[in-house]
Amino acid sequence: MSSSTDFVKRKSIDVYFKKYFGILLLILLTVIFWFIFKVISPNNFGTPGRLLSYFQSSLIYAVGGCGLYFIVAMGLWDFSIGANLVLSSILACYFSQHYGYLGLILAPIVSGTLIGLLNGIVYINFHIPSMIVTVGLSLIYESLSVFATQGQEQILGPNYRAFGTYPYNVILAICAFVFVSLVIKYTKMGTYMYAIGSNEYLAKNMGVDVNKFKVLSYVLCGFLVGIMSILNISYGTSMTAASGMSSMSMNFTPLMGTFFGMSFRKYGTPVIAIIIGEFIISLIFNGFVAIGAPTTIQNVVTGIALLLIVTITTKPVRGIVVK
Amino acid sequence: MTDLQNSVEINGVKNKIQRYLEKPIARSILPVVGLVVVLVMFTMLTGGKIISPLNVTLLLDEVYVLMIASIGVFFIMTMGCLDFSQGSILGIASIVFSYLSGFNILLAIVGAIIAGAIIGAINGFFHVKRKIPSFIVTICTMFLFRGLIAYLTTNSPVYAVSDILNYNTVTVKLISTGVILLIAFLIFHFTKLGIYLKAIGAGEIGSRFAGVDVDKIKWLMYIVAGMITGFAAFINVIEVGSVTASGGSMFETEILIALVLGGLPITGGVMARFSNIITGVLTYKVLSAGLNMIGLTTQTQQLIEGIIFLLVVALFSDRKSLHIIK
Repeated sequence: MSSSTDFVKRKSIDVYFKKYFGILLLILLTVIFWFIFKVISPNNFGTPGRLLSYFQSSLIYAVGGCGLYFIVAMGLWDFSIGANLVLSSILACYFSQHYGYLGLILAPIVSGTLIGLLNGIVYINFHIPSMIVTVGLSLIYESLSVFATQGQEQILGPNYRAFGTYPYNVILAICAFVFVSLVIKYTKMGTYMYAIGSNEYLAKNMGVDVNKFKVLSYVLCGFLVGIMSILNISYGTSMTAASGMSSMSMNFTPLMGTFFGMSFRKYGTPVIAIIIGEFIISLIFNGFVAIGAPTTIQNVVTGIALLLIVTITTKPVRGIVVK
Repeated sequence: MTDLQNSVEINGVKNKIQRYLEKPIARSILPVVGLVVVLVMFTMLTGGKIISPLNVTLLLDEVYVLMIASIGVFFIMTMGCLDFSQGSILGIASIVFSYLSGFNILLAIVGAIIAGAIIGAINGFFHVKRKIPSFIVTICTMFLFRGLIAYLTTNSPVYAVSDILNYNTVTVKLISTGVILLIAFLIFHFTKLGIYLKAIGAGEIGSRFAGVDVDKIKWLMYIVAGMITGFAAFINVIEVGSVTASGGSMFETEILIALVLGGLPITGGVMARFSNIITGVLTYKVLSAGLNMIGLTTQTQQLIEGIIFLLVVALFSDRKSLHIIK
């Protein structure tokens, strides 16, 4: 009797430990990075005020990272979120001039979601690998962004910048995080997403309407990119149309957060991992800035960091076919 | 009832088209037909201006660098892999070439080729040894080296030695491009390597069982593609004389669009044809020059290119070999 109680107790401690192990690990990583940059540059890095500002900027990418999570967990890709972000932010600016906050909120959410829907429909109907479809489509979205602005920089009016500052940005971001957590944990979408990601054939044979859920994942991703656009334009206050695939660079910071989410999903906390992951990335960026590294070197850091994250989180299996 | 009949009829026509497209002859002819159609269309639209001798010379001037770099990517895509870092390779190799051109032109060419080879080797390492999808690896290195190009050109463009422009002659460019095309053609058609590339694209596991050292060939091809683009940097610099922060930007997309327009299936394999490189690059250049000449703005051109790109990929994608499309 007592041994079975012990067993139950030990098991619950195991579960408890496992659940929080991922978060603890991430917090430890955060502290390590903070410490490194604090030692190198004690005066202009990592004060509580600055940490809060790094955190607020990282929230924008975390929302996008959560959107991408739906796609990446299925084994798909979306390289059009940068172009989506540019176009949706521009529309947010434009509609805020006519409809105030209603335009600022609704326009990017609607445009983001529609772009997601279009991505999904084209991907399913054209039978082209998702990364190719989204690269091709982002060429189209970028040109639409230039059409929409006629090359002029769009500036968000000073009266509509509440989502760029505390506490409204945090509230909006938390709403997005809660929404994503609920979808992942309590809906068919969450379950089928992992099923399709781990074995699409099997999922199909089990009766999952794979195509429907793939389109849905693009729609959800687009919806969250819409929310990300509100935060992004409110924080940055201006947006210029993209051309020549320049929006591609905007895909990477959210993608890095998604990779954190993917690698920590075994602990059952993907959304928290994405949030802390983005914060760590923000720390590293700001750390380099504090050291005095030129801003152009940031892309180099992003590239190396992304490559390292993928390398660490991918387990190379001998003989596996990877194209 | 009529709706049902209609949809059955439409499906019948769709299947017929699909079956026709899967025939090898259609895959050989269609890209050439595409090139001719584009050429004829723009000749009419521009009132013959596009085929004027001056314009043809200008058009050819733009073709060399893209043609050379496309050869390496063609090899990679034949294996079913992708390379999105070619623009950055071109940029970095051009910078290396420009730095070294002050010492000796041959040394500069070798330096550019080595720089390309190093980036190719990095791509190959992460793809082959760490089993990361090629698109992800190369998009990371694209970003990384684009940052490096921006950093190296922060204060001013990197200038090559001033008399480098003397090399900018049709003879140099035409011979260089021709020789590389010829070597690549011979390798692709008359060596085991060419067969292996298609075999890997068609079925990697199968070719592994048939004794092909897939990993070694993949890695080798990434290095070779880097070296070829490294050489293309030589042509690139003799044309412009310097490298700016935007050196080689969007070049990877140009290569991808060109090869796809040439009829190369994204999945590679036996359907890959060497002629895809030539027809593809020419079609792409005629298309962009034509769109430009009829007075369309850059964003309209990008829009049309994007739509055509998606349609052509959909047309030529090899659905039989793809059971699951990720």
